[in-house]
Amino acid sequence: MATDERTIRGKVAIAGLAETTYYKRGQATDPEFKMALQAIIAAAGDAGIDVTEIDGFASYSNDRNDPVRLATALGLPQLKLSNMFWGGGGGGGSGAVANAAAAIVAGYADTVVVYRSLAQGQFGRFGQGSGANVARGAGAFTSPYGLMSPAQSFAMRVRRFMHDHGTEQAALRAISLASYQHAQHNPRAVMHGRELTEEIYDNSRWIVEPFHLFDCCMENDGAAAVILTSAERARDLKQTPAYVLAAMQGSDYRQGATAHNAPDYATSNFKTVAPRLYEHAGITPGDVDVLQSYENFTGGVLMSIVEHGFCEPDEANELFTLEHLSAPDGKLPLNTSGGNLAECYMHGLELIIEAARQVRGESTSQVHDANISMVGSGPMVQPVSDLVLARDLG
Amino acid sequence: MTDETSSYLPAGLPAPAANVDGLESPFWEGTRRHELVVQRCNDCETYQWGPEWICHHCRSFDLGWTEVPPRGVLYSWERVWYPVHPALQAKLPYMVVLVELPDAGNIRMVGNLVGDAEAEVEIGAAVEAVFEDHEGGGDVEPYTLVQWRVVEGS
Amino acid sequence: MAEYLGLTVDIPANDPDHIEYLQGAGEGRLVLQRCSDCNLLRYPPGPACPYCQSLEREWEEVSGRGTIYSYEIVTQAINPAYRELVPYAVVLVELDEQRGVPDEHEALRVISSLVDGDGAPEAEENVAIGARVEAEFADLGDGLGLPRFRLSDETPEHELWQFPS
Repeated sequence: MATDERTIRGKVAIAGLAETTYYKRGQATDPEFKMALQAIIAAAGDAGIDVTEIDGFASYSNDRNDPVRLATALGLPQLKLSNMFWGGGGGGGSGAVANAAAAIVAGYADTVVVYRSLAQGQFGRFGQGSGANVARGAGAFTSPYGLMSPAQSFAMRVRRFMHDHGTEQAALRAISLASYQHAQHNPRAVMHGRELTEEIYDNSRWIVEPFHLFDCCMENDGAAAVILTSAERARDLKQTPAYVLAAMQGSDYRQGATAHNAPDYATSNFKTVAPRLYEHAGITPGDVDVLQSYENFTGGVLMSIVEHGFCEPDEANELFTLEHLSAPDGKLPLNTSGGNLAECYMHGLELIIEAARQVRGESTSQVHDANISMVGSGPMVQPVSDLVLARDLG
Repeated sequence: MTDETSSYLPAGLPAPAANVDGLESPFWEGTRRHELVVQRCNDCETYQWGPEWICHHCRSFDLGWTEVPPRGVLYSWERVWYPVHPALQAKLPYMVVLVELPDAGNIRMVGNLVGDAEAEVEIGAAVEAVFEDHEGGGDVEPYTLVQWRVVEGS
Repeated sequence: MAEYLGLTVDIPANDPDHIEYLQGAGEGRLVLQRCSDCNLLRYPPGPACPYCQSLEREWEEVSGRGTIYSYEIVTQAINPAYRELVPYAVVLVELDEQRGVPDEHEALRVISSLVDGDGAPEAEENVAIGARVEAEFADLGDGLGLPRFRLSDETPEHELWQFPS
C-alpha cells in the first residue's frame, strides 16, 4: 500500500467535547468514575448524539476507569474498541486520539470517546515520593538520592539543555506567564482570578532548580472527554468539526534508558515524532495558527517547541516572550486555555479540547481565524504524541 | 576515591536493592566492596547503563560486568528545595547530579554531590566517587551508595 | 470501622452508591436505586442508569423477596476468614420486582449468601435453583448492614433444580 493511502488525514473529526467542573486536587465532590461518566455524557450532548451511539473508548496513562465498566454503566448496546495507550504522564493524550482515529478509519468502531478522569484525593498523587523503604531495580539508581518526583526527574534534562544552548530563566518564565494570562479569560480555569506577574514568578520558591513553583503543573481533580467520528458523519452533527489532519506517537532512540542514560539526554523526545507528524499533516511549523504544548514543566514545553521546528535551540530566548506566546496576536499563541499550569491538570486532555475549541472559534482566548491547531503531548516522557486539527481540509 | 560513613541525605529514604530477577545485583555487590562495577557486553565490549538483559548495540545476551575507575565529569545537576519525602525535610536544599564516565563509554551515574549544597557548580567539572556505607536495619540489608565530589583544582 | 467475619469493611466516603446500600441494610431494609428519569430500578448500585444514562436517582426499599436464579457451593476457603464456613452457598437471587424489564433478559439479580435461621451457611442439600428466599441482614457495625438471604416457606414457581450430587 502506498504511503499516501496510509493516512487518517481528513477522515476523522472531533465532533464533541466536554469537561466537568475543574477542582483543586482533592476537592472533587464526586467519585472519579462518576466524573468520567459526567464528562462523556456531556461530550455526547455537545456533539448532539445519543450516548448509546458511543461504541469505542481510548485513553492513556493507565486511566483507572476502564471501558468495559464505562460501557456497562452506560448501558451501551455494544463495545467495539477498548484501547489504552501505554506509557505514563501526559505522553498519550494525542496518542489516544490517534488510536481512536485509526480505529474509525479501519472500521473497528464508529464513535469513539477519548477520556481522562482524575481524582488525586481519592487515589495517589503524582508529585509525591513513594513511602516504601526499599527501591528495587531502576528506582534503586535514583530514589536513594532524593530523586523521586516528576519535577526532579526532568530538571536535569532541562538544566543540560539550558547549558548547551544558553537558555535563560526568562524563557521558562514567559511560558508560565502566557498560561496564567490566558487563564484569566477562562472561567473554567482553576487559576482564573489568580494573576501572575514577572515579580511573583521571580519571587516564588524553587521546587527544584531550574523550576520555580510556577514552572510546575498543578495537580487537579476532574474529567474530560472528546468524541471522534468519521469526518462525513461529523459534518451532519451539531458542531463545527475539528478535522484530524494527523496524529503521531513515538519515542526516540533508547529514550527509555534507566538511570538518566538516554544517549540524547537534553531532549523532549519529539525529534523523530515531529517530522512524521508534519509529513502526514502536509504542513510546516509556519502553518500552525495556535499551539497547545503539554506542560508538565515549562522547560519541557520549550524543548518541545524547539524540536517541533518553531525556532532553533539557540533562538529560544528571542521566541519565548510573553508577547510572542499570547493570544490573539502573538507570533505563536501558546496554551490558550491556561493548560496544565493554570486551567486544569487534566493530563493534557484539556489541551486537546482547547485545540478543538480554537478550530470552532469558541476559545476564551480565541486566535483570529484559527485554522491549523496543534497539540504536543507529554514532553520528556516516553512515548510522546502529537495532534494537528484543522477547520478547513483545504 | 574516599571512604565515608556519614550520609549526605538523612536516614529514611528508600534503600536501593536489585530487582527480584537479580539484574542489578553485581552493581550493588560492587558498591559494598567500594568498587564501581558496570555492565559491558562480552561480545562487542559496549558499556551499558542502566543494566538490561540484552546488549542494546549487538543484541548479545552475553553481558559481563567490569570495574571502572570511580571518576567522571559533571554532566547535569539540580538543586532540590521542595521535600517530596518526609525524610528530606531535614536537608534542604540538596544537590542531585548526573555524572558522565569517560572511562566507561560515557555512561552516566545519578548521585548526590557531597559538600555545600548551595555552592556554585559547573557542568564539565571533574568529580570522583565517594562510597557511602549504610548499615540498613530492620528488613533492610546493609548497602552502599555511590556519591560524587568535585575534584579540587580541576 | 465496620467489620464482617473479622474483615474490615472500608468504603470510601465519596462512594455514596455503596455506602447508602449498606446503610439501608443497617436499618433492616433492602434498598435499590430508582432512576429519576426512566423510573427503572437497578442493581448493582452505581452512579449511572444503565438504561437511560441519567445520573439522577433515588433510593427505594424493595420487598427483599425473590427466587434463587443460580448458585454455587464454595468448598475451598480462598480467604482464611471463610475457613470455618465452608462449604457455603453463594446465591444469585432474582428479586420479585421488575422481572423481565426492560427486556426479557433483564431482572434485578442480587449476589448474596444463603444462611439459615442462625445466620450460618444453609445446608447444601437445601440450596436449589427456583427456591424462594427472603432478605435478612447481618450487622456490620458503624450503621452498616449486609443483605443476606434465607429460604422462605413460599411455594416455588417451578420445580426446584439442584446440581446432581
